[in-house]
Amino acid sequence: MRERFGLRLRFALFFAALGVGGVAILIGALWLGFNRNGGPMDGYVLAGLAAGFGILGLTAWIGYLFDENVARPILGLASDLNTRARADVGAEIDEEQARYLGALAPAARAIHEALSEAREAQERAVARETDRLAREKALFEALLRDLAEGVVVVTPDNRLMLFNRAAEDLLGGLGLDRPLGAYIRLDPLSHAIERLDKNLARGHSEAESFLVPTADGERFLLGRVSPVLSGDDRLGHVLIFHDATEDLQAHADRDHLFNTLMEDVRRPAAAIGAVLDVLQSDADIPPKTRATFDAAMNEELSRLFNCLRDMDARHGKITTRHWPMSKVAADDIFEGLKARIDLPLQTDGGAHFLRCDGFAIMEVMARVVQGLSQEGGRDGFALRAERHGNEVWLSLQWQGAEVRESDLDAWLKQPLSESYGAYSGRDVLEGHRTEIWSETGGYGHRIVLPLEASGAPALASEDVRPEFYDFNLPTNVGEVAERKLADLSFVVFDTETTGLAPSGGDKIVQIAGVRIVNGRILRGEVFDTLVNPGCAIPPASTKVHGISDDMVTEAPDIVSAGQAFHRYCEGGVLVAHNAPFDMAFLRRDESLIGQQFDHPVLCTVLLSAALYEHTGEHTLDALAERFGVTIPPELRHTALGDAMATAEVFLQMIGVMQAAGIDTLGDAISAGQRMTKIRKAQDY
Amino acid sequence: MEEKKVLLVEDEDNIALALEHLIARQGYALRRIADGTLAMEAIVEDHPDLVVLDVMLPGSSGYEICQSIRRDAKLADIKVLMMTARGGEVERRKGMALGADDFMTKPFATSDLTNRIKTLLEEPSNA
Repeated sequence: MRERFGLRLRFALFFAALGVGGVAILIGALWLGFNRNGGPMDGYVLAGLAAGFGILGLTAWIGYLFDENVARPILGLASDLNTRARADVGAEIDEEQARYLGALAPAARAIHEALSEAREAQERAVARETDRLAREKALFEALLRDLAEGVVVVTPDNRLMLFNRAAEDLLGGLGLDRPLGAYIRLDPLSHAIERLDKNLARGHSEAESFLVPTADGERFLLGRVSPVLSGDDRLGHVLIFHDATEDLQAHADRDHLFNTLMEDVRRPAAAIGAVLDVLQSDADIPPKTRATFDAAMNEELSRLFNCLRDMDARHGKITTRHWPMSKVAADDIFEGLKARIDLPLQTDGGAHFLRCDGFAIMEVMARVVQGLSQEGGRDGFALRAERHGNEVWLSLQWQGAEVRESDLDAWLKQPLSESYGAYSGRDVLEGHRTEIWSETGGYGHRIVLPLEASGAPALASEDVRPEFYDFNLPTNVGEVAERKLADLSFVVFDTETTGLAPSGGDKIVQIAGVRIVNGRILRGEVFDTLVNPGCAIPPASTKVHGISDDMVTEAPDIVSAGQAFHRYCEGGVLVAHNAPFDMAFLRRDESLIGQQFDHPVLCTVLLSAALYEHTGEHTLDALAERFGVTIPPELRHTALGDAMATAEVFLQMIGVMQAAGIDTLGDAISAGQRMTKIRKAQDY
Repeated sequence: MEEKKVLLVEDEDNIALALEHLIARQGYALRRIADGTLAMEAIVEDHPDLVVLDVMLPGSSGYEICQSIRRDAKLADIKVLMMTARGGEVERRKGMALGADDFMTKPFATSDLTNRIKTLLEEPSNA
């Protein structure tokens, strides 16, 4: 009974029974009066009708007032209390709605305040504990972030639990809980893990190496994989790797170069040998024939020389790749030199960047500066960097005696540093395919060292740092419909469009999404792109979302934007406010995009209707108000702003759903389906 | 007209054999030195019009010899043609920066070498 009838229906039935009962009593009383006293029947009927309608009307009116002022406020108060019990909502309870419920509203407010205070006390305790952990976390993050090698930790089913910046740089677009198979080919890794398992069974716990191509096949990663064990449980695997593409390419290039060299040298060598044999064996060759042989000899020699020049240039490119190079600011090399050498040095790096081994170049320059200063009679040392075409020339000027080439050569032949073993300055120059020399001019004397110029490195944004680890990801996942909502990854998204009719030809002009993983909104992994719809955007639509034709001129079309968004959604459950609307646009364009958006989908409108049946208010603004989520006005009706607000609402909603017995994804989908019919009554 | 003097500083005997033959056939007076350390003595002693100078030499390198020639004002009128088996552009730039008048990478066509020698010897001197 309790489950079958809601509170309002039971009150309605009560008042209906009261009205019907009153009328029945009235009829009984009139019947009794007529039998006892008699008289005209019409008078009794008239009085009965008037009194009956009066009783029914009065009962209905009182019932309506009771519904408005008691039943609905009780339900509203109950849902407010329930929401605050399950979600951290700071907004005060609206007492106005329950003004006729006597002490119930103040009691509810007292419960809310007590709950808030208890939460604050709990948060303070958690904050103290969190502070203690924060330092260790910061150290851990710094270590991971700045490791030159890519580090990735994955669950046993190869979903990302952790990644560092180097891994992000190598693989691109990494996100927590995403499948590793979206970034690298898994077969070689699986094979390495099989070897690892066999070794573990033998009692050996050494890491296994692997060489694996990226998913697009463009790069090769060389690394090692080791297990993460907790007792007998396998929590996942740690992968440490670096980009081996250039190493492998250099090996391949060297092999190819050698084979080409042999082939290209053999042919002219054979021809020259044959011609020489003829010329030596026959002294009486007629002049005309001899001229032909001479021409052949010259042709083959020319071919041989060209081959050698070509090989030399190609070998140079391989050699420079072999030496570890990075983007280094000239100023950094100069500052390092100033710190290393006890000499007054003027420096001007000119904001130039070089592609070089910064430490080795600094050591070479240090050798030269020390050599110059030790001989005496030289001062006014000044270091400068100047751009010359594709090169940056590092120059060291001084006043006084010029330097002998023999001295310069002697300084460079010394071992560079203990760190570099037997490597000399001359080896460094070889590795960089460059030379160093002295010049004399109006400025005095100078040493010149040309190096390859480089653009400035891209600066990493410090504003939003992606969350790059989460060790609480569930390690075992069952059928997705049976998984708990709290364990799932969601992509909460929103689209802006040219209009409201996908079947009428309206198009998407913006897609934005944000991921929720393990109960956290990953603000550093947002997806946000304008989309060129290939048609004019109606001014009325521009007025709503602020996106004009000019803004989408350079934007990707729905094909590339849709493909990128599909990649972003991989492995996630899609969530949107009024999801059927957004999904209709995406699914209509599936054939163009070449991908199917066949992910599980949840709609916050339908879920709200399932949770809050007493109200018809399920707009995003109403939900935001209910859950105490603030949407900055400037972000409302932008795809990213609405997606972010929907994500915050949905995150709070998960707790309320659990309290209502909606525990798994299957439960949530069923609840949404039950409410589908309500959609038509809603004002989105 | 006075016979032009060419000093060949080259340690590779077979290359030197061919170059001696070619340069002499052009009508220039030729002397060959195979060791870097002896080259400067010969240059000061002979004061040639042109030094054909290999970079990789036993003793002093061709770069050192070139720089020494340019440091001595009395030798300023001597033309220097440098040769190397190392083919990088940066070697050529270094040679020219140290004062060479021309720079050739081995292997080269002998006709190219004789043409450049002729051009250098017909140019007015630096002095």
